[in-house]
Amino acid sequence: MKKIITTINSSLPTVSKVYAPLDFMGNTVGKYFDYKRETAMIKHETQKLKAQAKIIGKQIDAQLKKELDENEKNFKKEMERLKTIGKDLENGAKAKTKLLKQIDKYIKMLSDNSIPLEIKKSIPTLISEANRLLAQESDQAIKKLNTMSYFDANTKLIGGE
Amino acid sequence: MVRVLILGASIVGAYLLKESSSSNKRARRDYDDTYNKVQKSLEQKARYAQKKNALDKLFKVKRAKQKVGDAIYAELGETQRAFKEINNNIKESKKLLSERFTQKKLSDSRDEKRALQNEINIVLTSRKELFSTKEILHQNLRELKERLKVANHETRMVQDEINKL
Repeated sequence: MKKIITTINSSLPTVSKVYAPLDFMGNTVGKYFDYKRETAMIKHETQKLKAQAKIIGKQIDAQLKKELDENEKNFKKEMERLKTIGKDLENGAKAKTKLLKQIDKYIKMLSDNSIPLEIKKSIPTLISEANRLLAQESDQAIKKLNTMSYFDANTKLIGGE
Repeated sequence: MVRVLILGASIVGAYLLKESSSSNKRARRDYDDTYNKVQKSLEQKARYAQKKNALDKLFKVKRAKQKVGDAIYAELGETQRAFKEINNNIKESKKLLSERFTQKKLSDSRDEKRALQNEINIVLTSRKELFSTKEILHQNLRELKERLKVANHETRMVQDEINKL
């Protein structure tokens, strides 16, 4: 035991056999509290980091929700527009069917012997007029269909890659 | 005695210092681990959110494109039906024409022949108009088929984008 004490003592700072070990002890206690404080700070930082992560996670969720809502809104608007055009096309198709029925009626009138020739004379003009309207309806349908195609992934909806 | 006490206190101090130092190191390690985990999880979350948004967007675009395709398909079906009807009308008019020609051939009366010729002329002019109708519908069919090709291509492109994700 004596030998150990002598060895430790000789390894301690040698300014004073009494005060140097006290200095050493004081430093040790100081370092101990420094470490303690630092450890507490790091632990606190860790907790802060976890809390920040939660906040950032919530921000990501909120941003996603915002973008998805915006997409949904734009999509609904676009679908509404497509629905309107679809309705227009349906009406156009009905008008076309009506014109074709009219032409069919004119052709049947031609073979009807009870109809006077004077009336039959106007049939080609009537078919021609029906044709004009039919061409007009067909053009409009194509134009409407073309306006349906502009729904573009990059411009109409936000977010993405 | 004092020396022994100082020595004892020094040993305890050194032990506490060592413990504090390792506890500090553990805390640092824990912080680093947490930092890396948090970073990774936030990156994953952001990537997931981005992917979800992109997919959601693309599925919606696809639905809209399909709606366009459906509208074109419906229009095409209507036009094809109309085209068939006009063809039937043309056939009907041809039959009528041949009937009137036969009647004219068999008729003895000059007035009746003239009347029949007039009727034949009307049928012929009407037939010309019917062919014009057929041409309009034919043109319309061509345009619609082209348009349907474009719509299908656009839908496929969106599907490719979805598959890439």
